[in-house]
Amino acid sequence: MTDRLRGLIAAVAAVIMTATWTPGPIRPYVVADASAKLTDLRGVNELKTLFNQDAGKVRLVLLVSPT
Amino acid sequence: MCVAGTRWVQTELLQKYPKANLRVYAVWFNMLANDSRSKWPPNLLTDARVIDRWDEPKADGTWYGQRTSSIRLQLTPDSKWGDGEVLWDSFLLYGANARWDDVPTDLIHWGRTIVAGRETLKIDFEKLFTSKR
Repeated sequence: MTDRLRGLIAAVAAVIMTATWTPGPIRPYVVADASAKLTDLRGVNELKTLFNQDAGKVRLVLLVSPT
Repeated sequence: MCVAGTRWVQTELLQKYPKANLRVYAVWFNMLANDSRSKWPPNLLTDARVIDRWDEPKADGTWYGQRTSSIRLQLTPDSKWGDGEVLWDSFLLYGANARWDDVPTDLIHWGRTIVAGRETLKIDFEKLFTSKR
């Protein structure tokens, strides 16, 4: 592929991206992936591992029932 | 009751402190007669900083329930806990320096119910994350 052809492809791609781009909504807060799943806890040790992996962050544990 | 408290965490803490360097572990398990895994509300805690887990044997609630006497001093003044076997409808807030070897360190406050202890939790967030709103 010649440099000229590469340049042409890049230019066309840029035009398409510019023409089709629309601004998304401003998100006031961080939103999780909509495909969030509920996986099984593998015992207290899993929570302990996660807890220590997140050292440096404030951590909030919620112990809750689903209703 | 748990759903109300969890919703409050989402709307009054997570949404209001979107830049806070925070991790939330939501550990779900059956406690009431109508509880079941199928009733887990996936749209309740939508913040990406939340990790959800289902705890069928109530391992975490039992683990904490057996240790509440040693953390009684950090219980929020508006909470009630009678040393039951399984701690639930509850929150535990730890500082950034916390480390879990035998037990987690740097516990700031814990509360039960979440709704009962929410004012203390809200004040703690204000102290920790005032510049992160």
